[in-house]
Amino acid sequence: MPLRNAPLPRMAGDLTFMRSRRATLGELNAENLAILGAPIEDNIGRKSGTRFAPTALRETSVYFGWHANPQFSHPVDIDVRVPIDTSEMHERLVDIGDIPLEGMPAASAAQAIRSTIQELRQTNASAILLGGDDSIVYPAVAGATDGEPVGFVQIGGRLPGAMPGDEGARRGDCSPLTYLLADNYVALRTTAIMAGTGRTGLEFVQSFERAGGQLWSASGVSRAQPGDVERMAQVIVETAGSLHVHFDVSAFRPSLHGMSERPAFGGLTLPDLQKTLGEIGRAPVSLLIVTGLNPTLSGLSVVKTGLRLTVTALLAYIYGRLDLDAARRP
Amino acid sequence: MSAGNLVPQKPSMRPPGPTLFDAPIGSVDSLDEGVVGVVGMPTDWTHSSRIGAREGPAALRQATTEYCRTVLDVLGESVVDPKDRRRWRRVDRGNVVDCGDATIDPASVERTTESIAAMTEAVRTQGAIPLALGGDHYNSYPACLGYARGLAKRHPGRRFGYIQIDGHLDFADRLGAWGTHNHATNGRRNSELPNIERSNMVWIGITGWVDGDELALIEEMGGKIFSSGDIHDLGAEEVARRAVAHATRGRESLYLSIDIDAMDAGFLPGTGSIVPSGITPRQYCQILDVIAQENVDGIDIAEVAPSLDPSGRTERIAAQMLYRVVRNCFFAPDTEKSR
Amino acid sequence: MTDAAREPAYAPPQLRPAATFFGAPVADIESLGPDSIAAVGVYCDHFSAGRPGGRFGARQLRYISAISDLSVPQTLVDLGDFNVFPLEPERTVDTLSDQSQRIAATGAKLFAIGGDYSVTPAIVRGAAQEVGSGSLAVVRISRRLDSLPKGTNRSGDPWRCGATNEIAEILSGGLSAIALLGGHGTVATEELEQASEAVVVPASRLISAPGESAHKVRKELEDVADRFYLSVDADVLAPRFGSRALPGTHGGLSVAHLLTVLAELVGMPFIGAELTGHVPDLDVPGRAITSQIASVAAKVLDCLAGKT
Repeated sequence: MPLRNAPLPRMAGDLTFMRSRRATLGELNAENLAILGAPIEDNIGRKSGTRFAPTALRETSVYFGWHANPQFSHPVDIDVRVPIDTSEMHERLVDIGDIPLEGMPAASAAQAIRSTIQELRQTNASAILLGGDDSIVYPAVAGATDGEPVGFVQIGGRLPGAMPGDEGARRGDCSPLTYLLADNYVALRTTAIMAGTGRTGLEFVQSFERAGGQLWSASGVSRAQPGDVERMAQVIVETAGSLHVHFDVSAFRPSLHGMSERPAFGGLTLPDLQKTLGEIGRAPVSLLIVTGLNPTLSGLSVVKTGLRLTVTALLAYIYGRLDLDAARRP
Repeated sequence: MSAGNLVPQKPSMRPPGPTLFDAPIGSVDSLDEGVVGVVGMPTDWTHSSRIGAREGPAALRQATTEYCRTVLDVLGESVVDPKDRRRWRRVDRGNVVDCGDATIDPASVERTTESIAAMTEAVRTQGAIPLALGGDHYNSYPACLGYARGLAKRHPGRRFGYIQIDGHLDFADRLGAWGTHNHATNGRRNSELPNIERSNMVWIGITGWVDGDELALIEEMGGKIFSSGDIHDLGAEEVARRAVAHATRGRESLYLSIDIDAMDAGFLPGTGSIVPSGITPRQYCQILDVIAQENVDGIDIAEVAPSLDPSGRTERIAAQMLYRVVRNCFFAPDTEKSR
Repeated sequence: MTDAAREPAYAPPQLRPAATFFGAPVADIESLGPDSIAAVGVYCDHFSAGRPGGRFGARQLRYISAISDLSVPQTLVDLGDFNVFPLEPERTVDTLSDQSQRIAATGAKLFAIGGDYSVTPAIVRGAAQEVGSGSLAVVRISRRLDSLPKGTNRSGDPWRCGATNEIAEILSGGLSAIALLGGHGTVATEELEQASEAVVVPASRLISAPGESAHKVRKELEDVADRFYLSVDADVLAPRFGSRALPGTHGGLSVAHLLTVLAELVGMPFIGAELTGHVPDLDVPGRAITSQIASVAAKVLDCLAGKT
């Protein structure tokens, strides 16, 4: 008989993502959606703290562990009055833990991420990689390829300032996408950037789009019609054979929270991101990489605003990925 | 209107410090009819996640006093509401009396419940209006329990309507390890009061996912729910009008329970259970303005947790929200001069 | 982004399960045996009148384990948290006792982490029911004596200040089977008189001669019992070394003093232990105070493992 015979208080006990069951890499199969943490950051400046995001996101997500809490009947979306069927979640959503990166030199950490994602790819499971800052993106996507460029969508995050081979890239442009393009892990015609932050040059925009890349502004994302984003994602999958997504929390409007590592003007509202991630989730995404959330900023205690926003946005992706929101589709 | 007896009668009186809206201190046993009697409920032992609301009463007292001294006191005897150009004249602040805090027993929910209820009952029995300061939102139940008992004594046979402005239904029968009396069950416990009109219960501001069985139960009993989506789609004032119409059908008394977490967490992060509702302070105040025009004779405000918001804006915005509800205690319509 | 990061990968590392005590594997009661040390969290600070926050002690220690290089016994497992019912004191006490007893029945050693002083008697009761109260003694390291009889408790709160007496009622040896180490601050005369049968060592003596004082306590207790339970309350630490649930006083031990005391107790046949009273900062794992509490926890584990 197990030790416990009653529900625990909400913030107690095993804080896996959404109270999902634990699993090992070896137990994964194509039906699973695995949560994996990469608690590391490049930034050693005064605002360091994104390495705590995997822990903080798990802590916040226990609020949404409906499927693992027997006292609740079934969830209903109050705005559309549609019941949400979470009956498969317990079997399919699993938490496989963190890549132990603390104290590693950056090069070793990158290799550890890359090789873990390579092994994950063998299981055919879909995964969400919780960063950390965007230094995890390059090794994660590199680990996900099998020699051919993969499909790639970036939501938020830094706009590349230059194309690979350009003068600007040689000067040390820091966007991970620039290096992924340079090393042919992703290809321009199967890459989309949505609501990227910062500035970029007109030359880059023209070159990027001429080569087939898709550039969506924040207002463009906001105005997208239902199904537009899902269609884009499906086309990328059909062309490239796979799809990997990088979601940086700088995609959120900074006025909504103060937890982005690199806040910028503009950005998306929560409904915009729920719509976008939900539609992307309906495509067969292999890996969603979440970066840029610094839970040590802005306020005290656990479950701060930015954490709640990020988890709420991720839920839309998870329900889409696990096909749980079929009742809501037009 | 007088302030009632200024000499403390009960051992639960707080020591001198800011009072709500800089009001005089008084006793729950000596209030005039129509006066707002403030009762503090400094407890968050019944909150299941982010604690800090026990500091709510003190923070609200500080913030409302600051609001009085920096804004209200510098206004003249006559003021104009820019929205509708109505004129208002100042009235004696004796319409609000601060009766101190209820005694809280962290080891006993039952004793804490009865302690709070005893104070709000005493206020309502005299025809005054209890305004209870939380604390976590469970304490809305003892506040409303005392209100219901007092109403039954003052007006035997009268039943009351109920409006809860909240990001959550709080209509669970029990919450796992936390049992049947906690911040997720106060709405359900209130619905079981003998003189509440269950079909006149209304929720405003619900966000996200709710429990399907709870939703079905509310609809079955005739209650009404307006989500945050409804507020954005229909407008805050329209939602409030519909809510009031439903809650006051055939009823002379109305209880208002304010949970500040209905407001979007970006504006009010200092609360236990934040929700991304998108509801702005303006929308929230529009709702309160409409409700304040009704015969609200029992109020509580809950989940102000100042320690969770180092910026200090949570209690200050909450103070202004409270002001909207009790504005008539400070200013009355100047019917001669309104255009 | 370095060039090295763009080279082909190598064998992947072993993934670390999300947040367990010192990275220990997750287990349940079926997998416990006489060699096991079972760490269990206690999410409970509701029955004292102090500052809430001890409920988060277990979680914070799990978090800091991720970046801790402390060495702990290989037989340590993380059993999750005890069931607690925050608004039902009697039910919580009964459940803690029951679940502690079940763990003790496997032969494993229990290490309860988190919560406050109100949980100690329940856990000791559970352990004593399994091993027999006749041969059990308790080493209690705390700022407080907690020996005020309930009848004289001025606050009227049944959960305050009587923990030592409750433990004495469980043990056949009564107060003489209890050592109270680390008391400091103002104490009521009747409380000190009540505790006179126990082995009392004030903080001042532990500070001036930690090893020697602890050694003496060990010898005294080994005369009255052959098995022991270790109760460590973080409030024994001076304010700069720990954040407390109750209003602090000046004085108290440093972490170094406490570790020396605990080191002297290693080798006593402990059947169980607890670490309570830590009210952590909730934000960032790795804060200094939680780091220090983690050191204390690791030394308590040494006591349980009998490691020198």
